[in-house]
Amino acid sequence: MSHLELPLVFFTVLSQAAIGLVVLNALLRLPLAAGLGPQRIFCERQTALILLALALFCSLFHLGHPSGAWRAMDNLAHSWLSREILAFSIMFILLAAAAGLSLAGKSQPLLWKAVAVIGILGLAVQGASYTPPSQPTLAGGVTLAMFLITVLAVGTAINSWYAPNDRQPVLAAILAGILVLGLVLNLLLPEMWRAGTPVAAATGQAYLASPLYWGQMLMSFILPLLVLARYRRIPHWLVWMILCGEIIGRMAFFSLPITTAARIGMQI
Amino acid sequence: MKTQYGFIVNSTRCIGCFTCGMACKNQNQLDPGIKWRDIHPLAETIYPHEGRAFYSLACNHCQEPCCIEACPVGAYSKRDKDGIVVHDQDKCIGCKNCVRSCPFGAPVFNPEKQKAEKCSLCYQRIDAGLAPACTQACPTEAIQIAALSSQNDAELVQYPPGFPAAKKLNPSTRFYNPRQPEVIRRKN
Amino acid sequence: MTETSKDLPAETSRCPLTRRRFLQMLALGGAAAAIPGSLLQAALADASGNYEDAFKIFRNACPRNCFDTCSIKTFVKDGAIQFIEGAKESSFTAGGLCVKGYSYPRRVYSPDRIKYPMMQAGRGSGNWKRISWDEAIDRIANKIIEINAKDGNLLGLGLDKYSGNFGITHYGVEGMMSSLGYTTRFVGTPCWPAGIDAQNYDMGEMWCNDPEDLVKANYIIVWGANPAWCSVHSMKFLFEAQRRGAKLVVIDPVFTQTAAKADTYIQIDTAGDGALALGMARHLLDKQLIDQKFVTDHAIGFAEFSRYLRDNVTLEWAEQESGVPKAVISQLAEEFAAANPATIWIGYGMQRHTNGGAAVRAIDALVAMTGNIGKVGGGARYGHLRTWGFNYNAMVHPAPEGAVGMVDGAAIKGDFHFVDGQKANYTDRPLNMNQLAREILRTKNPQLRMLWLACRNPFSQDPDTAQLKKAFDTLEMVVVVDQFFNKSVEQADIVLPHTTLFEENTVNVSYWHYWLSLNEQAIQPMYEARSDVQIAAMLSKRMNELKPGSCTFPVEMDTQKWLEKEFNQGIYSLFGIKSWQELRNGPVKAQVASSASWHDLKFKTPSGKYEFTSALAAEHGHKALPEFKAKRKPTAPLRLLTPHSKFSLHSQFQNLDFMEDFNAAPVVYVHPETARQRGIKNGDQVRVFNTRGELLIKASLTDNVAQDVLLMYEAWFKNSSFNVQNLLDDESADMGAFKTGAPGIATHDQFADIKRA
Repeated sequence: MSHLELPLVFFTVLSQAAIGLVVLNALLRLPLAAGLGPQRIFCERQTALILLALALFCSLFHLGHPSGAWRAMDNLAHSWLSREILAFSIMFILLAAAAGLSLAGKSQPLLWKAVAVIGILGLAVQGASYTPPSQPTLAGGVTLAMFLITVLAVGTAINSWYAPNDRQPVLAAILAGILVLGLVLNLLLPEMWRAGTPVAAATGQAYLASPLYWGQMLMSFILPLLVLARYRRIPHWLVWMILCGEIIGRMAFFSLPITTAARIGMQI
Repeated sequence: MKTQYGFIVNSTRCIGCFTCGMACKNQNQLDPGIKWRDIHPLAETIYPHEGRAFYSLACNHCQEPCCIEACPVGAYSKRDKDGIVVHDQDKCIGCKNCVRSCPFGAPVFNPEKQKAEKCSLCYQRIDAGLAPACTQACPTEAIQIAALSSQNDAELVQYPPGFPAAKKLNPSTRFYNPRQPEVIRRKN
Repeated sequence: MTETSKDLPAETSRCPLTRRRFLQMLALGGAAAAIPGSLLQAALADASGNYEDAFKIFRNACPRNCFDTCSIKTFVKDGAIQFIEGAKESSFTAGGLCVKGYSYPRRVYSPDRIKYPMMQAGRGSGNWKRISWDEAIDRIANKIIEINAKDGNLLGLGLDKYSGNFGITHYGVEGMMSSLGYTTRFVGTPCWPAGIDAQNYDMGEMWCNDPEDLVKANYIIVWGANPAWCSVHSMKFLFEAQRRGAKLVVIDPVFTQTAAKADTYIQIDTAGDGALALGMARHLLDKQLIDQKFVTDHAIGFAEFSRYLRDNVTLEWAEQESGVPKAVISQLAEEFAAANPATIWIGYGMQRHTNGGAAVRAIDALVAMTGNIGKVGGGARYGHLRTWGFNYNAMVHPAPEGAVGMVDGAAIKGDFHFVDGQKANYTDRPLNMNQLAREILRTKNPQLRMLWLACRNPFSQDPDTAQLKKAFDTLEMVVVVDQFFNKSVEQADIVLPHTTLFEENTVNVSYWHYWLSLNEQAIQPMYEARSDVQIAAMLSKRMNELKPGSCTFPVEMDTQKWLEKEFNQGIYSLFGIKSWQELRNGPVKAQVASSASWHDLKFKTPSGKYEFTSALAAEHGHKALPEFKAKRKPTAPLRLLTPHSKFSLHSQFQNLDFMEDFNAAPVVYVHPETARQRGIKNGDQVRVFNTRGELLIKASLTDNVAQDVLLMYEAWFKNSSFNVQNLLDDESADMGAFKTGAPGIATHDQFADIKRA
């Protein structure tokens, strides 16, 4: 098993949690009423800001030379990574503004929507950025599909914090649907890979043999579905379980796919 | 078409002696654990005799290098005059995105320096009219550099078995496949 | 003095890879015809850069025990080696080194080098303490004086030295011993002695063609050699011969890398070489494919040899003994006889057998009877020492006044012992180097008290580690001169740090090609490293301080002075130079009448002819004819082969981290069927064992080896207990005593078994 790339794991999962929270909240109006739940310490905007700030902070640890991070947008002309940094930087600024204004009691729905749009762009760029040519198994939208599951699952779960009571069963049903989708996708992918090229087949084998893969299946999909079946609503702590599952799944994503480089000299 | 240098890897002549790989370490004063060039034995499904045919590979100096697309700080550039892909380590911030991206494993991460590095095709030597360290070192002239033109040759292969067919990148390395001798086994 | 930057513009303008040069290389590769000129344009234009101007350039020579003895160019800046290259002046080195050679800069600057003289409290304890050179030399000198006082002679002081460094001045180690008096010398060679004797019986000397004339051969059999690993610079000549139409046949028990490059590979039963050669000879006799003129005019005993073949050898028998199908034997023989010239490269591996010398004689006979001896592009190629005519000034020192030694001892002999023993009342005591453990334990009156190891690492290279340890335990003092804390250093009391080739002056020639290379001091010695002659000089100084007149070794510390004294008019004439300083411009090649050995067909045998029947051989207890000798009886179910790795030279190089980057760990190669029978899978941890010892190691399954063969490459991996010698015994080869003082060692007549660990 190659490197787990923990900073990237936290960066991608947390940033996607923020995107999910913002997009589902701002564009789809998932909880219906914004800012509900005065018992919460943070409203959704501050929560999103914290998530994204944590994500960006974690990403610094990925760099051999974090002091050079400020140059990471130097190659916007060619580099998806530069564009990713740009997207998330803009998102962070807008989100900070939105969160700050909300503290002052200004809801600024347009700004909130703009954050969501940038978030969607950021997700698309992220999908491209983490589809390296060295891992053909991830080509064809696999990365984006995996990231999307994270965005939707974590986003829906967090939004349940801010939804009124009567809204909860609907949110639970939506989350269940997303989790079933995620479960099916994650069950199918290794099998599809195993039937593919030698690199893909090796990736499939690595997935099925890895506790990380089964850990994600359990924590992200199977257990949460059982919980939803039991309670018919989203317990507030379920967010943490799904988040853990996605973090484990992301470790799998960064460490398990076999690279073509590792198979030079063999059938690829 | 612009001039593009590429390695000609002649596996017919390659004896897998690893001289090129060590010559590279010697010339470029690489740190222990770092290899810009490696010698890959071919699996028995590709060449029927275990560990007896090889591809000596470093950076393939692609026509469409994905490292340039991967690097957020623009540390990679492709020289106009010969297509050599150069990594400027001073710019590198050690994000490893090139390492993750390259289907050939050309860039490697140096944990001491916390930066990436890769084969430079010894461009400093080339600019001085000298051969790269690996090609000068090869005792059988199994590795050479050449300027590729638009024409093609029947015996030269761009994507032999066991070499990633990353066609979008259009790698500049060309291969001659290894040959097999007549083999007479013992009777008893 | 040294070649400085001023000389470089000329150098660089001579060397660039021009279009013409590039196309030449393609031509050499046989590829030119296949590539339209427009596809592969000149990669590099002529340019006169100043890349090399930044460096001071020195000439060096790789002193390892290797066919290729490369000429090196060393680029130094700020007193440190920046990188090295092969010298382009030599058409053999041709600008490139090998994987081992290119690791030299790392070797010089390795953190693992022995930096200072050190003393170990308890052999094998690793409890090393740094001491000064003065203290080290003082302890050694006092021990020598003590031995002399106790025994009345110095026969209790033994020297075990061989080929760790072939720089000519390193014979100063032998010189140091002579300068102290009469000592015990471990003589012989584990390398090539059986073949040397064989060629001496047949032709009167071991003398091979210039390997560069391989390109002129029309048929080449590489028999039991693996140049693709052990002489990489010879491969280009084999390839060029193939390109010109020659057929390359490799005969080997192992499907080697050279075999993969051949036109035909013939797998032979290990030690079945003599039978195959005799079978081919018998077939040629039957087909009358004999060079009648050669066997009548330039040879003796061919009639007897023919009678022997007719009476004792058939194709069926040869097939039985060698495993090679008889149709293949006859075809091989006919093709070999039909080609003109045809040549055989006789490997050293194939003579490390109890029947190895006999096998070499049979192969010699095959080459001779087809008239291929003395021909350009022909010959029975084994090795030569024709370019080794130095003064051996460092080696020749009289014993001190009053020294006592053996009264009836045999004179010292050796493959590289080029000086005649002087007529003296006393001699040294020669013991068999290949049975070091046995000889130490056996020797009495006086017993061996002190052992000096230089250019040698017996715990990695001598068989039967357990027995060797027992033998070392009887020694009162062990001194090792080396560069790394290897397995023999582990068993030493005092270790002295030796210079690398870049830190001393010497001169080198090859036993294969015909080039002469200077080795200049390129950098100051690292830490407190000293060269062998410097150590001898220091010891001499101290000996005479402690006991005036006890050592005759000059106290000269300047290795350049030692170097200068090795040259003579013979060397200058042979190589066409006026002074050794000319070698600073690059290596030079011997100017010989013909690239063919024995080109005038005047042999150095007693008869002056090629001797199919050798009275000398008979006198030495061998058969007069190159008769068949049966192979050693197995002592375990599987044959154990421990040949040389491409990543190391015995225990040199593999210990470097740079080498581990390419070859991380040893494995044992097992045939898949043999593994299946024992339930072993690829990558399994296995136990290789026999009555002498065992090894735990990973298995790698391959049909490169036969079903009855296990193969491990001999090497010393840092921080690893891996040592093939644990499993080997000290069985002698059949020949070697005649010219090298002791019979060879049957390294490849060893047996073991394997099971899952």
